[in-house]
Amino acid sequence: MNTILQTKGLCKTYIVNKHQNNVLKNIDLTINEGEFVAIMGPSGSGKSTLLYCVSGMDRVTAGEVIFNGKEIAKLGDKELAKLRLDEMGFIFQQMYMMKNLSVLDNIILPAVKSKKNNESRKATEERGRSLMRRLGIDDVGGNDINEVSGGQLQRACICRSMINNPKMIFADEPTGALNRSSSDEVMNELLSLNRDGTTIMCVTHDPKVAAKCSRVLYIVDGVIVGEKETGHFDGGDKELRDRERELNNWLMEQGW
Amino acid sequence: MLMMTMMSNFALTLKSEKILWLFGVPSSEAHILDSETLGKLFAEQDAYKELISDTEKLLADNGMPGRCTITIGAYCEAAHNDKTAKIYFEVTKGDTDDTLRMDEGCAPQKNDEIAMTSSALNCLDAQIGDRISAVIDGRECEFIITGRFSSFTSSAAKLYKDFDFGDQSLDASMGVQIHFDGDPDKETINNNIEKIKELIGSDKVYSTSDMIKELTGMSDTLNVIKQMMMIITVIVTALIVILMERSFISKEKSEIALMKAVGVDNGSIILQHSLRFVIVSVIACIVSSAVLMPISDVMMNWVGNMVGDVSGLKCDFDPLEIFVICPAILIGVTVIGSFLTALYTKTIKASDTASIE
Ligand SMILES: Nc1ncnc2c1ncn2[C@@H]1O[C@H](COP(=O)(O)OP(=O)(O)O)[C@@H](O)[C@H]1O
Ligand SMILES: [Mg+2]
Repeated sequence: MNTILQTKGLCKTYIVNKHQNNVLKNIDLTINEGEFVAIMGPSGSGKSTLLYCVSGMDRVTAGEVIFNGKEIAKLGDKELAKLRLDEMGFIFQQMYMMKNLSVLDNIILPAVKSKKNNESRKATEERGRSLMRRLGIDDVGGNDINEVSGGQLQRACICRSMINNPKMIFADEPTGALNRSSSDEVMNELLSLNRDGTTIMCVTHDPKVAAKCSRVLYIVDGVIVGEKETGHFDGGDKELRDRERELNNWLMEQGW
Repeated sequence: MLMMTMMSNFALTLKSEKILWLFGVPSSEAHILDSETLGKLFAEQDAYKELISDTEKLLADNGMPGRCTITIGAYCEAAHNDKTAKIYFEVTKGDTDDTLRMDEGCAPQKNDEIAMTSSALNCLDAQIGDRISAVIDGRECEFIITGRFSSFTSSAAKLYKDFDFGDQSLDASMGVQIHFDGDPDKETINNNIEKIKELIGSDKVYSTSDMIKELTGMSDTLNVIKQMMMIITVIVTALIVILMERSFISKEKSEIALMKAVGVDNGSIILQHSLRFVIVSVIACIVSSAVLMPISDVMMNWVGNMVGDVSGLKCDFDPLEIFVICPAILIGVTVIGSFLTALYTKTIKASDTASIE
């Protein structure tokens, strides 16, 4: 298994009003290609911060982050942006989109902005549409952002994160703002992406979501306090219920 | 933008040789306004003949042949029906190919024909085709009005070139106009002017634009105003751009953060933000350039009407200045302003995406 993401002694400190807040403390983490890692933990424990630090959205205070063989702390802003654009995909809890672009235009935005991508606009749009078809939202491509439901929007965000065929997708509570059924749909799409080989790191509060991941990390106050290898999930409802029960028990032990 | 280019137009027009005819003199390249030379005109009758031939001889002897004209004028009592008014009668003496520009009707062709400005016509309650009488040199003369013309002198009347003022005492002259033979270029003209200065021992020899500057004194003021307008325009534009861009940035903060998170680099975000302003300012420049000429002409004539009897004045413009330099300055200010402000987007971090709502 190839390592795609590795952190060594990652620390992140915010200084607010001269008050030092050590959000992440010495995190050592290794994620292999093809994994679907869930990050769980109480709110304020530093889950999002960890996600941002490893994906280069935020700078680390100390330590190393190696993504796909590159030490990202050493990259300049521009190279980092390029790396994010070409090799990473992002999904957020709030389904952030550009308000004055249509759904389809939002989805293909990263492809349009990518210098690596030299296909025609038409081809890009076609690719965007086929992604939308795959996620079952091909009928809302021309719509405005506020004309589609939350579930559809989040699936559009997944399309956007996929448009540049990233090596890894970072998701911060992708289902946090969705109802149960939308959440299941989104999760199933992520699972199917993962089966196709995309590595996913997903922050979540929802044990049902985490139960579908292949590994669960538990963070408290900026320290990984627990780790559970659950293996890839591709079974039916029964297996899922078993996994959920097992995970819930484990979470209980962690102090969930 | 519009203001700036309009001022530029005014200044240029008042500086330009295009308005020379409004002073009642034919087109010419050099002007002798030396009071000593001109003093003779008022003292002796027929002095102009001598002056013209002397000057022409002087020019020819010094290798810059040209033709001279002198426009002389006098205020005389004129009457039409029961109306009387003092009118400035002028006549251009000397050899010129120029014909007087008319707004209406035609230039006088005979000694008893005359052209008048609209205010002169108004004073006398006369129209083209009417007969007026005037007392010139003690004689009672009759004229037929053949046309209407524009001049910076209000209540003026133009006589046929052969009309003789006789012993009438003259009130004004615009000096000696020199029209060099063979249309020399600017440099030659300037050299010639320097030579003439030496020859007649006076520095009151002007090129056309200098003379107009001297006479109106307005062009310079306008130039100063223009420069002030430019500075104000630049400052205002910069302020508007900066304030607007700031508000755009704060309004679009989440979108900017999102773009960054997704991996769009700073450069292209800044570019996109500046470009938006540049496009707007380019459009503004095109629009104002398009409406500029008609508006300037209207304004110019309005101003002209206040100063004298002027209509049909076409603004002079420097295409380089109004279509290239002014827009370039404005667009430049916009580019710099929006770019510098857009740099502010750098402070928005990708990780702000999540913390904004
Ligand atoms: N931009 C920031 N500036 C200062 N403090 C921050 C910032 N982002 C997060 N924090 C702090 O870091 C801690 C962890 O936040 P976060 O990673 O968002 O937690 P969560 O696990 O809920 O996602 C919190 O205490 C929060 O106050
Ligand atoms: Mg969070």
